[in-house]
Amino acid sequence: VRALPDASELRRFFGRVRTRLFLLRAVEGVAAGSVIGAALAALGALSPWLVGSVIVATGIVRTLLGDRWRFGWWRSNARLARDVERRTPVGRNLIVTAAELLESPRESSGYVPGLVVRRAAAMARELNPARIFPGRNAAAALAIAVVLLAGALALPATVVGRENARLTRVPGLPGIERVDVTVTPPSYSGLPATTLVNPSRIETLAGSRIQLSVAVEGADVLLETTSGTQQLSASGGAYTATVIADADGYIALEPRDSAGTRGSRHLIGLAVTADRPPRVTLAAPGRDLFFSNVPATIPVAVNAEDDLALASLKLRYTAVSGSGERFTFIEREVPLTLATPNARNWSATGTWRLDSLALAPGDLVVYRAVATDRRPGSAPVESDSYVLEVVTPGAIAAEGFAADDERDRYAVSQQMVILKTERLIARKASLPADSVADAARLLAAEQRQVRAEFVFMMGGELEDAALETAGTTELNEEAEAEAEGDILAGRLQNQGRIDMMRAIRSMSRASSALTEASLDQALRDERAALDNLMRAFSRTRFILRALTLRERIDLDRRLSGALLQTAGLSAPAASADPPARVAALRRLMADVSALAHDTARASATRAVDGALALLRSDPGSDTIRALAGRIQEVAREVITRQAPRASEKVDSLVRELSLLAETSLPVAPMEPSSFDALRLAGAWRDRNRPGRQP
Amino acid sequence: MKMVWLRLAAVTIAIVSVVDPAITSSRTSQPVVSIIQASADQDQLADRVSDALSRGFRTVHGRFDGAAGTILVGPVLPDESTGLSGAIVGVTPNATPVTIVQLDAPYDVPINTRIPVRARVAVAGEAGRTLEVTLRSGGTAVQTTNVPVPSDSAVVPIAMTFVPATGGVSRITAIARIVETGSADSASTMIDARESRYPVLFFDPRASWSSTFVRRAVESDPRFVVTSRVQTSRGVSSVSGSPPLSLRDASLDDHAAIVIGSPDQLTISDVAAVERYLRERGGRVVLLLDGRVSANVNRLTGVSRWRSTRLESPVALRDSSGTTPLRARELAWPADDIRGMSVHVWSPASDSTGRPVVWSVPVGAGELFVSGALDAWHYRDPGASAFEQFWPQALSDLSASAPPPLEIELSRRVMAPGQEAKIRLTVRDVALTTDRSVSVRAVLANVADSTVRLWPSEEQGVFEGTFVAPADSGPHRIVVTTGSATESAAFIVDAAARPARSLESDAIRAFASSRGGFTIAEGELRTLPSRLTAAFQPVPRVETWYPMRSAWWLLPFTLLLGGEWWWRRRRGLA
Repeated sequence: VRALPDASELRRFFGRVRTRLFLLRAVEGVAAGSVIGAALAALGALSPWLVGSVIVATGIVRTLLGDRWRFGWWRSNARLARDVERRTPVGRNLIVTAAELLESPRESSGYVPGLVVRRAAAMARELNPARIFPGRNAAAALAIAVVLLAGALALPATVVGRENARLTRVPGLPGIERVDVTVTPPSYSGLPATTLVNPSRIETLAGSRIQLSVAVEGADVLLETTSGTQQLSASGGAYTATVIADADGYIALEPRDSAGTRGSRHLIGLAVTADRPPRVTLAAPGRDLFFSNVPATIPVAVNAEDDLALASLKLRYTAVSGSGERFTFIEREVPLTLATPNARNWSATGTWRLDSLALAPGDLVVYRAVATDRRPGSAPVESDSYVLEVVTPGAIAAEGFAADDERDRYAVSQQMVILKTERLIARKASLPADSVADAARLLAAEQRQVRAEFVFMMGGELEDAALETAGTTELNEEAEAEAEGDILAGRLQNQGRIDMMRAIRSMSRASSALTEASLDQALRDERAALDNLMRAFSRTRFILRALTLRERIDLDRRLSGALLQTAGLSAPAASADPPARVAALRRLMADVSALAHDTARASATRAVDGALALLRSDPGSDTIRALAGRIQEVAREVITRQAPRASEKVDSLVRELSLLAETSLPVAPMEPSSFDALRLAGAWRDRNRPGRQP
Repeated sequence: MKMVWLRLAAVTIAIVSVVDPAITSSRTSQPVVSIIQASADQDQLADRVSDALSRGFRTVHGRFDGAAGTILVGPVLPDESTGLSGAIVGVTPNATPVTIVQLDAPYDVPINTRIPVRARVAVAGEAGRTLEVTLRSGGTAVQTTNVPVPSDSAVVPIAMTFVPATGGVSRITAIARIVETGSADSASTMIDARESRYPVLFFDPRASWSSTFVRRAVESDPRFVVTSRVQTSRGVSSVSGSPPLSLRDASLDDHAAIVIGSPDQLTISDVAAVERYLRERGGRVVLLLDGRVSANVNRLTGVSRWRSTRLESPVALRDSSGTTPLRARELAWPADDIRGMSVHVWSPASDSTGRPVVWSVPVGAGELFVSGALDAWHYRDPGASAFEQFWPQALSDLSASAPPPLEIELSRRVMAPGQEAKIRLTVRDVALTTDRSVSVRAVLANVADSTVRLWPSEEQGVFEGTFVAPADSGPHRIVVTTGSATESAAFIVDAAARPARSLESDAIRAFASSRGGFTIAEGELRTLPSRLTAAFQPVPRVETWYPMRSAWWLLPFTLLLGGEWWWRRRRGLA
């Protein structure tokens, strides 16, 4: 082949043709992929990332398989020549012949092959692949596809929910024919609106707007939620209302005719998910820093994540300088470079220029990361706080601002109690019971000593009784209100105090268990105390002796008062009502049981009304919301006789209701002893009572 | 010649007849056996027993005191078995794969409770399979329990719970089924969920924290109606409801239980009144000790010496279930053992013994319940102890066990139409006091002419009678009225319902063997006649037979003489 003149020129021509065709096929593939992606995006079936994947994949497939859908189409020059000849009249099959001669070296020697190749090369010089294979159509297709894709992505993402079972209406009575629900999450969430038809359950974000459009055979519709009852307004042949989803609950729709006759209710369970605050961590430096020579700069890195979308991420610091009674506080931020790969996960890096702070020995800088999400009015969330302190060699953190310098000793002491308890458990089998009890009591004393140190560190004001009886998460509302300023400032976001309280209480329990020589229980409590201690010291960098929330004795609970106030006090006999939830469950059990053998409309209505009563009694329970939805469906199936296994479904519902009721009811006493047995027991004791005659 | 023989034969008959000879022999007669079946559903088995004994025995269905022996047919001892004499033979039906042998639930319960239902299911030859027990009420399955069958001959205990949807009488049916085979059995019982509440009085001679917090726990419980009197000072009381002015008040008997705070303040007359309440009312009294124990309290409790301790920290007190119902730091308990004492809550001591901190003793028909957990109210937080649950449950149990003015016991609660049942009525005030004048009247509610005659029994204040279940299916009540009190007991009439089939094989075997009999299973019926013959030991009787005392001798006598005459005429001799 090399002997043929102009062969290389002809090969270059085929190379240009090959490149052109590669380009065109790629464009066509991308266009086709864009159309497919646009269709999928419009249906809401794929995310933008997946749409992009579809486009790329389609482009590659089209490029590799070519017109004839065969892999390797570009390898044969003869095939390329035929495509060229098909599109231009000048070749007269000469280019194809030349291409075949080039691919068959044994037949290419001689005058004629050389002439053919030479003339074909001459023709190729005159041919322009761009003209032979114009890109207009491909470009147009790509443009159209891109427009379609952009339009599909730009469309408001509306997810149409599954249409639930048709609502059943009893002839002659008002009834709900269709319920269209549009749930619009808060705009800041970026979530699409959702449309549901005849739903029995709505799950949405707190603050969502729920628009109801009810087609009804009747004069009006009453809407009931946990907030109250309202009458729906008629608009365009339907009754509409808007409900703001602020808490778990329900939506009950009750149709009525002009005479006030009620129709069957339609219940919709409402599950509301709160927008969680963001979580922010200080990745670098992420620890306390002590410098005698302050560096000019240090690198910082912050990470934050949120369940919906982040709004800001900052690194703030407070520089404290001065001494004695005169301190100066400066609040500033470190400039950061944000990396926002998506709305939910952000990271930021930057360089903290410490030289601009002009820190001197004894100065202190407290720094923490702060993030907010997009929820309007949401409080900023802070990471753990760390200190940067400028110290002279051998110095410690300033008194009153640093973590307690003896905190490690406390932790070690608690660890020592644990170690001693473990040793005692190991030796328990070889020791007499009395010795074990004595050793356990000594350990209890050590545990109380460690506990006392922490109580003192927390202010020394906590009574034992208060510690034992108060819940760790229960806050005095009045005191909380007094500390509102601190809360708003975010100073109480820190959980260290609660962890410390938990640690102290675990120590109390451990001490009690040791006193009873219950070593395994004591060990569990001791470890719980240590865990809480470690958490407290990792979260709160400051254990201040002045508590923002002062523990106080609740005098009301102590029943204190003047004696004279009791004179003539009279009240009716106490006769408590059973819990509303139990009463509703019991009534609902009867109503649902009736569905097994009574298919009348009234029984179904009673069951649905009972389900509503149960929802009213406990609207926050997810279990009850789900149960109410199932009861409504079974009732509907029963009255339309569409329940193939109605009795099994009713049995299942009654079993669940019974289980729920059981948890709230005490056990009935078994059959009491007979009269004869009572008298016999008394007579026997009288007979055997020393010095006593019956 | 032949004529002579004929005449001689006739003459011989005449002569022997005149002589009238007697023949004595020894022989056995067919014994009479009575067959008593335990229940109506044992008809077929009773018939099979009768067929098996048709040769060699005369059978009588039902009790027959003149019978040589009695055959008891069925898995339980029939009611008619009392007072039987003669040999007793038991015939028990073949074991079925699944049999509900016990189904217990309290008959009369407060409505605001969950009712324990206990069943025992006998399973034969189904080891390794799954037993499914379903509790149904009103046609609805309210609970299903699955348990593996441990062996080929097992009695599986099943604990279930029933929550009545409505008040009143409910029939509950347990259906036991082997899942893989479909073998099943069912049994029914009933419960009567009542709206009534336990009347409880809190009486504090002096304000008491312990009593106050126990009262608060009980007041919030819908099982009780709580009245209280707290004497905060001399002549100054705070009350709720209409409590008696003092413990000596007769209205004390209206309460099922009395809780006394600061019992050290009780006077000698108070103690006497409380003891009267215990003995004559059968009431329940709770003493919540909160410090010093007075001699008057000792008189009531029978405790002569107390021990007490003040611990460094509160300890967990234990009950029989191993839980921690109470915590306390200050404890008081009897130093000596008290006979008849039941310990409910104790404090584990270092010597592995338990100090009885909460205990009770019977006093007459009543019960005295004493708490020595002096400062348990300090540790009433739900996280520290079950104080809030312990006291309502304890008072519920105590109140439920206090005898009502009229106590009605029925021998059956689930009956077939026309079935007979026994009623036993105890009039508390008559039974516990010397008052003997009382008139009682019992009728079946909503059934015409249904007066049930009650007869005084040998025990004071106890009346007994029988009644027949009405023909109408459904819940019924038998209502008993005395001069001032009315009480009723519910029962269910349903031909399809039947109670659990108690298996009393051992009792039947013991009963039969004690009377010289034996027990066989249904599958061994073919051996019954031979074994019965041996068991009855038939006594041979001597009989004297007079063969010529029969009118039939006239026939051969006449024929012989007639033949002789005919022969002679033919010969021309006559």
